[in-house]
Amino acid sequence: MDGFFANIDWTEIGSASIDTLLMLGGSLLFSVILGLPLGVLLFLTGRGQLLAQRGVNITLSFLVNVLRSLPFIILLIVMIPLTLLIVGTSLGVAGAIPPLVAGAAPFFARLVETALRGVDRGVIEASQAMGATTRQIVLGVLLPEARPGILAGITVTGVALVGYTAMAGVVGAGGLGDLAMRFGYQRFQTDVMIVTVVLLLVLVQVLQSIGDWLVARASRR
Amino acid sequence: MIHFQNIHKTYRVDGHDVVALHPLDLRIETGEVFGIIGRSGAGKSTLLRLINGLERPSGGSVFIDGVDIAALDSAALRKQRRRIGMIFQHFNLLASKTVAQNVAFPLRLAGDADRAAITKRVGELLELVDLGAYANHTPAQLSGGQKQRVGIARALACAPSILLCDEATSALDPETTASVLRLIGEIHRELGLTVVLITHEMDVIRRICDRVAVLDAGRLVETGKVADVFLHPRHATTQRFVQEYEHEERVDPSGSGVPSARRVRVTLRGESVHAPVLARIARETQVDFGLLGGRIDRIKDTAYAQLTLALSGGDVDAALRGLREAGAEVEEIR
Repeated sequence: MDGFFANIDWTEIGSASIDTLLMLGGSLLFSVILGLPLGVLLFLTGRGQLLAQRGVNITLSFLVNVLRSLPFIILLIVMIPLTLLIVGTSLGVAGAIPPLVAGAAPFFARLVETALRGVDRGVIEASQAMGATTRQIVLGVLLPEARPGILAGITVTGVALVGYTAMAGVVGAGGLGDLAMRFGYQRFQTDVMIVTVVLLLVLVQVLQSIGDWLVARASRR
Repeated sequence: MIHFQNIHKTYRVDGHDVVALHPLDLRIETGEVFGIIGRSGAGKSTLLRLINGLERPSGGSVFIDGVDIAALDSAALRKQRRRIGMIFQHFNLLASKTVAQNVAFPLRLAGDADRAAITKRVGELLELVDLGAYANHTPAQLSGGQKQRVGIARALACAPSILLCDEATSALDPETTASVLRLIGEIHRELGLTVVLITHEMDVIRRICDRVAVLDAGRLVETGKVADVFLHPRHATTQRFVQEYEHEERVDPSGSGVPSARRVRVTLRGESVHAPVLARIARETQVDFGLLGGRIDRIKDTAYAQLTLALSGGDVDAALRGLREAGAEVEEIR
């Protein structure tokens, strides 16, 4: 055993794990904060919906598609000036969060849009017939009715972000992915590679389980 | 009173204009139960939704007690909608909320009642629809009939003066349909509101409506009291609806059995249904009565009998006169 885990510096693994969790938590939080309203807007401005606005819808949709089609690794580099402007550094955990959010928020917005499309039109019509404003329909009907789908979307986005954080090592963000890259791959330290991959796997499993549990709880009717 | 004035509606579908409603005029009196019957695509759903502004007309006006719904801005329209309850074929309850929360929803939207007042009102409404024990259930735990009762409680929450029913019983089995229609009838009597319902079933019209309008391909083809329209349908569409309800051809085309017989349809309404009219007239005029078809039933609260008879021998003209004198409506069929 000693021989196999010889290369492992557990302090380093610990701090890398914390970095990953910070990146994940921060970027997921901001992805939801930005992606949720964006998804609602995408839905509402769509054809035949409450605020049908063809121009706005096409513009938003195009913006989302551009951000989603850029490979994350490119986004990471392209975003550097903007990241500097927002968080004052393009390095470390803080420097990784803006590009992570830019990559994940549009993805999450699409998931929100899809979840909202699943809400029965009749329920929206009934709310209109009761004299609800658009705001009341969004907050009182659409979001509560689509809650299971939105929670599932947050889970999927979180899992995708775990993958993205591994790439954020490119801008010196640290984290488990970075550790796997520098030690495991570049220095051929297979034990470091295995430990980091197992930790990432556990992280994904935990995220998915929590997500599934929340979805199940929200859909219990 | 609801007054449609020269109202029409055209949709634009894939670059083509599709007429949903040709220009029509219609008055629905305050406090009556008014039925609109038509096939799918006849325009009845559009007509119903013009009343609460879910559809805007392409032209014309919809007056409710003198206010033109079609001319209201969206804030005024929302306010107006709170005075108009609506129930739906598929109930359209919020799956994420409990029965009590669903009924409370329109009250919360209106925003002018505090929590205690809402709780009290919801309790009353659930008692009214006989679901007091189901306040904390979710819609998924209820049967179709129970869901529609929740829909009715929700529609009545803001004490509307008009109740719109959009195929409210079409998704329900016959027994549940009867009980939901009974409930709507009771509510109509107790609260005195105006009920407008759309349906494709003559039976629904027969059970609770005072007056009926028949729509066919966007045109109003017949309007009148239910008893008149039901017993003497004039337009071909109306006749088909009545036939469908009766599950039979109104007249057996193969004749009467007696070649020389004259065929007549005799309609009796109200008290005269049970009077021994036919036997007396047969005795007096020596006419033989052959029965070709018939039905004894009720239209809302009024009993009626409609019999198709073959009259032969004796003095047939005197028999027809006698029937008319006894209060029957007599139509000769050729």
